[in-house]
Amino acid sequence: MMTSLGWWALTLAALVLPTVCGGLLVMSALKTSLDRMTVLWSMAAGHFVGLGLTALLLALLRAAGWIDQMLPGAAVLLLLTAGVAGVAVLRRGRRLGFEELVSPESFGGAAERVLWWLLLLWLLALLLLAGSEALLRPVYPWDAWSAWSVKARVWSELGPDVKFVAFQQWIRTEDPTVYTNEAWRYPETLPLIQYWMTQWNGGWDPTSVRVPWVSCALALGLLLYSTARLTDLSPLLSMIGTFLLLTLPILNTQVALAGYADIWLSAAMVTFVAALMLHLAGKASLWLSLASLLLVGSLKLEGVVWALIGLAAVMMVRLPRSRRLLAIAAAVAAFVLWLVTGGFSFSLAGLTFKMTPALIELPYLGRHPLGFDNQLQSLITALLDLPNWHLFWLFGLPAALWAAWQARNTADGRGLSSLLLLGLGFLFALFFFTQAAVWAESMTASNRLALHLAPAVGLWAWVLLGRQHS
Amino acid sequence: MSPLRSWLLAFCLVASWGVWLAWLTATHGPGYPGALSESWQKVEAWQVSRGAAWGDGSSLAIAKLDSSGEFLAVAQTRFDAEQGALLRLRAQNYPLNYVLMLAWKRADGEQVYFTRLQVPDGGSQSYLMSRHSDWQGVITELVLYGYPQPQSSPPVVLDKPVIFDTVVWAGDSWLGRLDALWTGWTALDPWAMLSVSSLGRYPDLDEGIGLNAAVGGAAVITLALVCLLGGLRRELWAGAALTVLLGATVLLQLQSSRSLFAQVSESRHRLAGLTPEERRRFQFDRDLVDLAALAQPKIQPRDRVHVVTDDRFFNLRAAWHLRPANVSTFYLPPAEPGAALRPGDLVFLYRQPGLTEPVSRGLLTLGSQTWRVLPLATGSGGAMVRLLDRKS
Repeated sequence: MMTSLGWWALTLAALVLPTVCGGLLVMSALKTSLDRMTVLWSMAAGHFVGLGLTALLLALLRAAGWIDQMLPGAAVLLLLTAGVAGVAVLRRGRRLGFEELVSPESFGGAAERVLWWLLLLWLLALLLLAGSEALLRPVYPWDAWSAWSVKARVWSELGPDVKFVAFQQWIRTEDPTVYTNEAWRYPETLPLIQYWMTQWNGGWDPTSVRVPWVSCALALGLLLYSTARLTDLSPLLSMIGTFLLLTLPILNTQVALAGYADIWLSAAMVTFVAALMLHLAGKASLWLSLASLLLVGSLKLEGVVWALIGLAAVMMVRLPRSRRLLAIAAAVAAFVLWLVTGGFSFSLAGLTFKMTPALIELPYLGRHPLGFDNQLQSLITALLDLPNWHLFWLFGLPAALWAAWQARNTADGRGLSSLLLLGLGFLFALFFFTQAAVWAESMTASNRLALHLAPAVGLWAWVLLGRQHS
Repeated sequence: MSPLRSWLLAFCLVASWGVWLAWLTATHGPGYPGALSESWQKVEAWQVSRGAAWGDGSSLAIAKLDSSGEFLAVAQTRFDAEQGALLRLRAQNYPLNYVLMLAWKRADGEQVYFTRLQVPDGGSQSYLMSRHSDWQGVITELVLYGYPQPQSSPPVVLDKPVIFDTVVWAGDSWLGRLDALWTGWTALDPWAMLSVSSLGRYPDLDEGIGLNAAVGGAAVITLALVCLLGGLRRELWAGAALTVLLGATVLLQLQSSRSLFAQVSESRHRLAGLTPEERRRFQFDRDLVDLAALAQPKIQPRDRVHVVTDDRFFNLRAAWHLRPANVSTFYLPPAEPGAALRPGDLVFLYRQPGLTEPVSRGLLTLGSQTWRVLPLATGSGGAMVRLLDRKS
């Protein structure tokens, strides 16, 4: 089955349909004329938007009880959505005029052109290597076979209505169709995307479930490049930025050892930042950024925190100065009040909400005792010494801080500043004050969580610095 | 920038990189004053106690692994650790996903000390043994021990014999230290259990400052010198920063791509052309895969399966292999089955010989409970039974 043309055709169709649908939706939210770069950008962002939409449609069809019609139902709805979005794009396209869709990049000289092509070929070779490893291996990394792919496998073989519950509930129930898993409460966006992939090939297929990780890396690369180009960077600077971010070893490992959700969260954060940057450049609707945040929040448990941080960045970008200052003052006052009063605790509809300086317990996010645990040495080793990040944290972080400072009076600068401040603050709080300190010490999570933020702030900083110096 | 300044900058750069490398070399580990006048070689003394091997006096060849896919070679010896501060090792055909450990005993006791070595990639590799605080006194016994990386896809049968044609201890020297640094930086980084979360060294593989930090340090020095000698002109600074960052990243990416290429080549060699099911069997827990394959057809659609293993990792692995069955993925220690078990439930036993053995007599004891059971599948490493009723 692996090598057959039919398998490839169906697997690619499973990816192309959501991508085209998402791409057309994204295009319809753009406020600029369509040219090759906006089309490229739309398709890259559309890959993530479309797959997120596919998961949402599958979940809705399942909730409506259309279990047997989930695949055709979602496919028809995607086609309909693509049709409506396509008509909107065509109508606007006529008004704004299509520019040339296929034309080569223009370079300052032969050396620039050679370097651009060298970097591009290197990136393609890297994608080919990581992709072939992803497709060769059995489901390999721990969380892939213990968490993320479990639901997809069970749904593929028994139907997507199999419900997963906590062990305590499973052990008491008389219902034999209720299942359990350690990751029973993880968001179902990725398992649904994997389920979608397997259904196109007629059932559980451990290879096709990993193909989206390869397409994710490809779309991420295209998104990084086209965002830089659409925000006025030269082709070479855009390619260098893409090369620096796409060659991060920890990112490539997530592709080669496909199965973890972190690269998806990272790509969703890049989609959010890219859409916000284009919005600030007057080229995209703000709704696109907000829709990306929905995807961010639906991929992993901590995605909710990243989505809230993204929302704060949007507020800093959009609100007028007086309201911004008011929002910051209110946030600081609330934090101080929380510290002074010892926090709060209440129950609502059987759910516990507890936030004290000693314990945070929230529905969905779980229970996290708080206490200081210095993990600076582990983080320095993971981020600076081991071959996970090349020189991202040595150069990229100071460069991002510098870029944010230089652009402090612009909306871009405020957005990047808030993303940096809140993102790094979240990671600091997580690894120095919660039980996640253990993950930093064992290096099982510090790099993966940092990956959620790094490419997004890297892209924003690169564009701001590139604009200043070009 | 004037030509004179450019030359000065070039000179300062080369000099400062040299100083940086010298500092890294000097601080790579404590220096020992003693040095052997000539290389000390003990290859002919190795005795293989696990696996099968032959030696012709100048090399040690591991031809076959033991049933666990491991090999172990021991050499009795006697030399002063200070005089053998540097180990140079070369092995041909060493499996990429194998861990190589070096263990030693000293004359002052029976305790065994050990360290992980980089995976030999066919070239000569050096290790500064004086980095290890336990490498002191008189060394009396040496052990080379190879075993599969946890969660890798090891060969059970070696394609070609692993040949150690150089295992040499030499005295401390600048060149030897430089070689140890370089071979540490350029060593392959094969997949390991932690790879998806963090690449590179494990805590027990301490080869000093990594390539990232070394290149990063050189990049910072370069930028500082450009800033110092070229002035703080924005154009120069930006161009230099871009060039240095791209150059350093290309350098690091070359090493990273080389490692990935080696890993992909290995995977292609092992896995290309196999069906997904065959690939699953190729994994490190083959006996568990086989046992699950025996058990799976016996599981009815409405059955609940409890997995009893000796640790959480195998509990989760067993659950994965048994899917889409309704399996409890929660570690169920034999001593605490609680009220979880009901007549009709299935119990999948793995790595529990004490529990598995009485199953052939139709009995299973879990903690304080003894159940009459019907064995459904039995294989190497475990069994699956159906609970009939609880013995009072």
